[in-house]
Amino acid sequence: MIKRILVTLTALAASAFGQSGFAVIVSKSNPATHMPKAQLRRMVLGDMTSWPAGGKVLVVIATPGDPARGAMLKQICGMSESDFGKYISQKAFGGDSAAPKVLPSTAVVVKVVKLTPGGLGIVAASDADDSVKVLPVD
Amino acid sequence: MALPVEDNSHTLGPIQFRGFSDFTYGRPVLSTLQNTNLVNSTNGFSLGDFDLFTTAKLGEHFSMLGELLITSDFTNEFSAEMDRLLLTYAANDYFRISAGKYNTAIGFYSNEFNRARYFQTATGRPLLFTDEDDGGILPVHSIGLTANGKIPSGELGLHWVAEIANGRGSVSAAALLAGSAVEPVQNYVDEDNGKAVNFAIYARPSGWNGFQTGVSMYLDREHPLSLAALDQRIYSAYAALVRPHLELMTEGVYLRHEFTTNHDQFNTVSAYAQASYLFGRIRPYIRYEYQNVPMADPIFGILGRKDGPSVGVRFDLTDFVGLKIQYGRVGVSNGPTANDAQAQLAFAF
Repeated sequence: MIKRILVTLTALAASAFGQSGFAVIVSKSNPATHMPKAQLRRMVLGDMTSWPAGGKVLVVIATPGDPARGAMLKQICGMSESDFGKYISQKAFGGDSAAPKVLPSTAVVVKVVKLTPGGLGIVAASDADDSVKVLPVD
Repeated sequence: MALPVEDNSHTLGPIQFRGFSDFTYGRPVLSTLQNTNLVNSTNGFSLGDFDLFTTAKLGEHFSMLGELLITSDFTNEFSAEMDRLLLTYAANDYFRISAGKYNTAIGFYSNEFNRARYFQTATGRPLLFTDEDDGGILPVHSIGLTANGKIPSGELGLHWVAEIANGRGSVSAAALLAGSAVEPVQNYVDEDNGKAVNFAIYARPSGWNGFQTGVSMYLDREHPLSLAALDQRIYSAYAALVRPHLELMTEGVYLRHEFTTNHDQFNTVSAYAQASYLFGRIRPYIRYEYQNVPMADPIFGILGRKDGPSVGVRFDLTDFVGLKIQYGRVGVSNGPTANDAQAQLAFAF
């Protein structure tokens, strides 16, 4: 219970840095301690496919309509769902396959991030449990 | 405990298919600039390229990309054309290499938007990026090897590109007027053993979302029919800011032909600038382009000078169907001014 409260507080602290409506989660084995906004944008948009400390990035997000996904796209990428769909399609025609993996729910996002050393998930702060690490976005 | 990922290394796929096409009413300005025996109407319907695009992972580091076009041109005949076909080995973010047919890394537009008119704000490419076989001055396609990657540069986001290819097959302007033709993208038959090389460097600063700027240098030696060999150098530079609501692009190319025998030089300049802004679902845009080929240029001399504006408006009917209405006017040094008015439905799937 205390862990759950700590995780929520960390997510709230991340919100205090300017982001609200979503939390960035990674595997507990990931050495990252924070997530620069520009780096998060590059990872989500497929421009950065490796972690600074090494290892491939696997960005996982829930399906369109998920509020956390929508909040992240708007605040980090400056895009609507429609803009993001076009951007990913255009990148695909350019030969770039580094699009985020879309999973059916935030519960699955948490589960996949927990089990994937290079995983990076976007969920609502309240969905991040103590099985994963929440990175403050700065 | 690692995620139990299915081992696909001994099976093929998954294969992804995508595609695009467009349908246009009106007269593309280019159709008035070509040497053709066809009588062209100002209110014709036309189908654009029908593109079938395939990608597949072939292993942890290998992938393929294929882009097949069913296309028609100024002959009115439809034909199949392999626009891109690449086998890629991607070691990491800093090095990946592809073999096959690719878009030459000259400038921004053709590599950012590729062929799909749906992803382009305007109804077509700038004159500068006209296909080789439609009278374009650039070798926008190459067959050979292309390598690229990031350069460790922090916030600057530098990338490199190096390419070696067969280069462009050429025919002199005089021979072209006399009816000779050469397929410009050389595949089985290369006119010489020399290879074309291209180097590019560009930056995508992480602090400036959507901005990209870069330069490139392309070197080749051409052997046009019935002329002495000539060296071709193409230098390009661009700056582009492409965001969902705002698009500002400008790029220019300096192309020099120099005979290897008497060192006579012919310098061509081609450039464009384009701006658009999305108001709700409507995106007005404007483009101005300029291309000046010296009449004495042994390869492209018949193109002469062209310059003029295009203005238009784009409206997205759904996420992947766009409607565009455009008017363009191009002044031509060796002919009458060309006007075009078009309505285009472009879609991707």
